[in-house]
Amino acid sequence: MISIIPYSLKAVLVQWDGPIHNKTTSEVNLFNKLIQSSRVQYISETIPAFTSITVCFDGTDFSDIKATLEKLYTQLNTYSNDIQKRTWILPMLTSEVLPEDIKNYLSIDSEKFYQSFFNIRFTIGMKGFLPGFVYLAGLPEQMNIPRKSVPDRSIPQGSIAIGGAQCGIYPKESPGGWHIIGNCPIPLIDLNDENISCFHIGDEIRFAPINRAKHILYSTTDWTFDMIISQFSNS
Amino acid sequence: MNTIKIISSGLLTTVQDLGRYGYRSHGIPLSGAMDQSSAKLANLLVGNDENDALLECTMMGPKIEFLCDTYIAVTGAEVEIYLDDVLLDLNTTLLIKSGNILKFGKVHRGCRFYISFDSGLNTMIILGSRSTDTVSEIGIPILKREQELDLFQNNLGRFIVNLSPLKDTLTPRKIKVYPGPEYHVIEDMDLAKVSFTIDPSSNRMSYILKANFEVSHSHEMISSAVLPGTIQLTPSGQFNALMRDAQTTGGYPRVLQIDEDDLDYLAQCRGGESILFDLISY
Repeated sequence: MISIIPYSLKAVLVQWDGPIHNKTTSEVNLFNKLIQSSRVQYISETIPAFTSITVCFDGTDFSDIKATLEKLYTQLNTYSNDIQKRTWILPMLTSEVLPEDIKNYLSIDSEKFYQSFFNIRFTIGMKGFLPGFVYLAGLPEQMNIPRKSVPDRSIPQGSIAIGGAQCGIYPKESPGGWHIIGNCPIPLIDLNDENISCFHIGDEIRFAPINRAKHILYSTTDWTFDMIISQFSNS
Repeated sequence: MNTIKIISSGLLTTVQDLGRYGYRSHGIPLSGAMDQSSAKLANLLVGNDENDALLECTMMGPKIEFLCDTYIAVTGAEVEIYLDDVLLDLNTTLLIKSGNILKFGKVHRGCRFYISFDSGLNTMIILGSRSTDTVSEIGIPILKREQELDLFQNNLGRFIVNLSPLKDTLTPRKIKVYPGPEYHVIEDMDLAKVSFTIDPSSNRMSYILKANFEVSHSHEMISSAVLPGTIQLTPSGQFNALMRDAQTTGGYPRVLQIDEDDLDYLAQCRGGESILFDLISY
């Protein structure tokens, strides 16, 4: 079920009921593609999230956009889904020792933690927070840990971090309140490429451990999107 | 090459156009001029496109040496403008000769002013925009002393328009706000009776608004898009009015949404000033 409510005089919010769920994320992604491919007059930009799409428009009013979106939503069942979803296995240098606060809060040792972590199939649920930051859904409940009450001043580029029920990868150095558990040396974003990123909402991500030598090698490689796709995805 | 030289940079001088649209789904903020109507006016006054790149100056202006002839205009905050020590007018087209030195005095009203140049600044484009995002560090960095900037080949003597401000963004008023998607979190609050003080730490990312009464909430929400003009309420009761360099998504309730025209007015308000809201329905 969706509801469509005004957000500003030039934006509406399409909101799905319920918590974060893979099924909802897929539907959000599909509807977002449908809106974009329909090239509706007046719609300038869409911003999808876990359970919502913000639709920006100019030159018409709320009721017109609402009616358009409601009509489009009825076509969602018959909209052919040719979205290419990639499955990624991304390299991860684990933290030498799992941070104490994680060990204590989750009552788990490093080995067990990483063993479970490398088995998780994450889904890219949304982007935001920082340019290119990917929010990964799929962290099991027994690995959920509250965000730090005092955020770290600096989380290094490439950090893989967990907070609440989510996991994320920091595309650049930034302050942040999540717990760092490792580092991914693959760039998530390239502002000089109009595609910006090769990681898309709906893609599946797993992590695989690498050693320090490989991490250094990958960190100093001049990656292109094509290289990243051929080396770390199934396509 | 038409060039200007920054002799001193002022407090916070950045290159801006109207913003970096179309990439928010990748987490790329809009950025762009804080007072959009003043930026548009500045460009129109020198015959430019509304979206051409200009300088946004904050409280203390830069000192600029011109290495070419051009036309400029200064709009926005009420600032003293001096060309080789002669006081000039705001909101009008000014002819500049190579060798002229432009500097600024006291800002009497408002907070940000705009300097447009005939044909616009020719700085690097990133994802369709020349705007500097001061938070994500996209675009050319905040201007520094001794820096030179190129202008596009100008077209001196073409039709120059002479306009009065399109929109007044300086006169104090109540700021029009609409209910945000999570307005229900504050629906018991009588907004008409609340005065907000702008925290001095407010910047191009967000204006922190301190209410004159205590409010707190424990509303949990799933991260979703935020827009310039969205007012978030943090669990500790702080109201954050998000501005042009704000992140694209957030997890705090979006309790109010500022009217687009009045957002230009808020962008001209300074730390320490008090504001009132006028809640209107859609």
